[in-house]
Amino acid sequence: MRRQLRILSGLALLLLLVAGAGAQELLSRPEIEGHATPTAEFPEPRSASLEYTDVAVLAVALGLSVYLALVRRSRRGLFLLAIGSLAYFGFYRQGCVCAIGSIQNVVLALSDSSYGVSLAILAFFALPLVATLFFGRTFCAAVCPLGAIQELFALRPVRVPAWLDQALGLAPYVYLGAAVVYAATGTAFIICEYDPFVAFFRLSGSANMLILGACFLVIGLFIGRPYCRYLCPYGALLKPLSRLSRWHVRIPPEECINCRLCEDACPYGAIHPPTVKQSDADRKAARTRLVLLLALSPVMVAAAGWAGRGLGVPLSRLHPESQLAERVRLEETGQVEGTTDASDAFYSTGRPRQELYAAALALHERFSVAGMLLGGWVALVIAVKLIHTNLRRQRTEYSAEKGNCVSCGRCFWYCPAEQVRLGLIENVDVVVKRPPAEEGKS
Amino acid sequence: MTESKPPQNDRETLHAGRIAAWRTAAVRSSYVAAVFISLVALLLLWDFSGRLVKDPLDSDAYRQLRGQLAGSQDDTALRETIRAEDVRLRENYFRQRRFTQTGGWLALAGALVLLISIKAAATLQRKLPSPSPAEPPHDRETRRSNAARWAVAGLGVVLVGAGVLLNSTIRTELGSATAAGSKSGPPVAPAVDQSAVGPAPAAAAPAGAPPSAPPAAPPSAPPTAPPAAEEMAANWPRFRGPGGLGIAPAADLPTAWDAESGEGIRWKTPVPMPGNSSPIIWGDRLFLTGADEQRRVVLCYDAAEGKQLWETEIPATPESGGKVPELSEDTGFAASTPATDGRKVYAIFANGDLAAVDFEGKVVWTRGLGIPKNAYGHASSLAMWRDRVIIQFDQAAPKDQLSKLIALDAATGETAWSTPRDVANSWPSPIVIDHEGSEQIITCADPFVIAYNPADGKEIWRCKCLRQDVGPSPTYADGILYVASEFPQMTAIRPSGTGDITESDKYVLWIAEDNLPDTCSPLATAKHVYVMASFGYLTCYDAKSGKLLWEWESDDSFTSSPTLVGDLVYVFGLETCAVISPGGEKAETVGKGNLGEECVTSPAVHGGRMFIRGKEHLFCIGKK
Repeated sequence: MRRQLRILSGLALLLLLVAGAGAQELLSRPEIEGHATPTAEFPEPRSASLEYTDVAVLAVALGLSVYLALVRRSRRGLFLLAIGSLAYFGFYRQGCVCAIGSIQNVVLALSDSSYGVSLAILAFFALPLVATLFFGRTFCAAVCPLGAIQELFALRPVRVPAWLDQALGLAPYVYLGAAVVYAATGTAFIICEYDPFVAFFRLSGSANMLILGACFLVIGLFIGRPYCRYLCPYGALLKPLSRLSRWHVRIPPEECINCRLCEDACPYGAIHPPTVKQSDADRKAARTRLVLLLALSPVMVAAAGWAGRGLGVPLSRLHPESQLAERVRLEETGQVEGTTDASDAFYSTGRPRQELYAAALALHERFSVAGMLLGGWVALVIAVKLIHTNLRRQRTEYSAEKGNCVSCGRCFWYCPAEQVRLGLIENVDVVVKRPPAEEGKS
Repeated sequence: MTESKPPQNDRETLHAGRIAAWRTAAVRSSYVAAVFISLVALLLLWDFSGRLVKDPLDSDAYRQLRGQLAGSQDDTALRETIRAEDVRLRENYFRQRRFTQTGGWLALAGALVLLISIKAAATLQRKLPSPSPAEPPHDRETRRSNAARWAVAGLGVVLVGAGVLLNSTIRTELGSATAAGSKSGPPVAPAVDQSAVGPAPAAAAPAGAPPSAPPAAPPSAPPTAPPAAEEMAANWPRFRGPGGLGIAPAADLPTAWDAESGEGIRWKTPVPMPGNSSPIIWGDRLFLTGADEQRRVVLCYDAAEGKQLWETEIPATPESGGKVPELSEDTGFAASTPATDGRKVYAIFANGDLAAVDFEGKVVWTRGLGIPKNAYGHASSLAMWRDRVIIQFDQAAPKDQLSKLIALDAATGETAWSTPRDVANSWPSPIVIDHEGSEQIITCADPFVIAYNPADGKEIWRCKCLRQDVGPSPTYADGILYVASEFPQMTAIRPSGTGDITESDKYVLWIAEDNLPDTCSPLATAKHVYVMASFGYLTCYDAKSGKLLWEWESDDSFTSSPTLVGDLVYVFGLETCAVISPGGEKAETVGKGNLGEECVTSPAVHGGRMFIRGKEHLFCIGKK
């Protein structure tokens, strides 16, 4: 039956693609005389009251998520809340406004004083961060529509090897750095442009974005929340904050009895077993590596920053003005044939080509500085990650790694103490056979 | 150590029963949802296969109807049929759009139910794991950390590689653009002979001195400022030389030459591309243009030896789009003579494409003005004023409002100013005069002679004295401007007025109506004005009174403009050449020449030599 269901879910995915693909066609205007071309209409901006409604919904959803994850410890409640968030923030609000994308608004507002950012966007940026700082990633658990759609598709998640998980976990920081660069330079909001799920939320989008989204969903059938774990730039902010959280979800409602039932319950690799004492040789080697890495880190950051300066031209290529200048130059020197819509529009403005070239070269310089910062940032992230792999924290019980745990509550059910709490079993001994010496503890 | 156990009491049995019931419901719901979305999917696919994906109007029937309309524009019934078909196709298109949208929402709802059902079924049938017996504790974390460290380092290497790849594959084309375009920076053109841009050897040499070859051109940094008037005067930088006047200082040129015997010919060299443009010279370099339907080239020759130094093809601009202009075969695709400021060579072609090429043959900029609507093909040559290239770009009829006078920044090719002109397509070249301290660009076209301020393109005055196809360029001498056309007259104008001076005797000094030129531009000195009619009459008028003084006659036909070298007039007919000594009362033929091929261009004079382009060759006339 499972195989049949998997086939059917794939069919559903295909259906979504077909449904969305039809929405991009444009219709030429009638050529027959007498046809009055309708005046172009632009949608009004969302009213302030509706914006505040969005903020209120976000606040309520965050509160509910905290309550369901930490107080009620209800996986079912979190799942239903995720569906509600998907419906509201995803399909009703069509993925915008969104906390992930709000990073860019905030960055652009900080770098460009002429750019205003609404209170609603600020709230979407800040509220999840604050909630995470106190309660862990409850936003990811059931409020973020991107997390919710992936949670829905996580049908047969398998565990990613820890080494690969650690390495891929760097990608969100790189993406965050790139998104900040492009937002700060006013180039593009790449997080929004390359949001893999927004095409589904809007039932409309380019074929490329639909395919990208479908890929994420198909991968998400087997690797839980691939976007959240290996790409989400907002997750890169939430992860360190979550590690500082005072009240974070715990696997057992009270004391862990180390029964190992939850050992494989987390598809996101966020459950860590109790630690075993490290050998003296390993500890010494780790200490040596740590000292070396601490000494090397500034060198790595400086070298990467220096190398990043050379990325001015490639990085600037995403900027529309830079693209246009390159195209116009190619057309001017006859290296390409024909024109593009953008170059046609440029020629019609009468703007001097040299002015465009000068602006593009100024952009190269600006992006050289941005490239230096980006290179330094990436090196810093790698250095911190390498240092992190040499640190050992002592654990005496199975516990959720606060940074990676998205507070989804999937592991609750696997804990016998939780089953006792819910009244499903009378005591843990029903499902756990423990050595006689430990039996009296529960 | 742990294991699942079966239910042990009634409560647990009841609970297990409830779970089983829910699981069955979830499984059945998933089946229903799957069947539902399968149906929706089939309907959507069926609809999708039958729809017009790109354009609803891209139907055979519709195209056929429109084709019929092309042959019978007045068929009202056919128009109504097309309207009805248009409406039907559009309505059908929007119906399909609605169908797809509705289907999409239904599919979405079905997919949601399916996913929830599957997850519910999976959750309800899950069982607690049965972990294998615990192994003796051993340190797996160190091993994992080691692997993670390598993986992180590996990803770092991948990122570095990606950066290197990006840096090496994505490059900018703008570096050379700004170097060429910077007004203050060094232009791309290197190696202009500094000695050659000084006083011209011919001008400096006393009359009768043996001609010396222009000095060699050692590589040196090119000048960046616009050339001084003395520099321009010392070269032959445009059509008809300095000022476009067709006058060169005295030079010891031969009065007889014959290309077949080699007499009086220092060298001749084939020109690889056709063109009716005339040569221009700066220092030891001679420039020509050539073009056919596909290619446009600028050619550079060593003026001393006639060796071709380079040939640069000018790429088609987006504005011309590689289209071939319609033109007369007699005009050709390279009728306009280029111009130079000693830094770059500026060339315009019949398709409206312009280019600046440095002295090493590198294209610095191109500019497209669009295919001109010109009855015979664009032939107006370029003029220079300070650091600007002046283009008389007349097109179509005055009512079409397409004609313009344009000034481009010589460094960048950007438009400095552009002034619309209410004139018809024309073929004269503009000249820039300095009249009583007032610099003016003089243009001729049907029906006006118009003077413009070269600084901003503002009109200064105009005179309505030309009609129909105007070919000859204006000329200027001793404070008087001379303009002529085959119809209706030649006019002498004092260019001191403002506004429309057509009716002013103060500014319109005299008119003449005999032996008027069709294409040859007049030649003027302080005393005389010479006009060459296409049918072989060179007529001399008194410059002050307009009185006809004498006529010189040839059996040949002429399109080349006469050139005054010292006190001799050189004329090049289609097949014959002559050297004329103009007197006050009559003209005397003092020499004849033969190029051995047709000639329609005007000569360039520099360094004690005369350079003329024939149909197939470039000739250097000079004493050996």
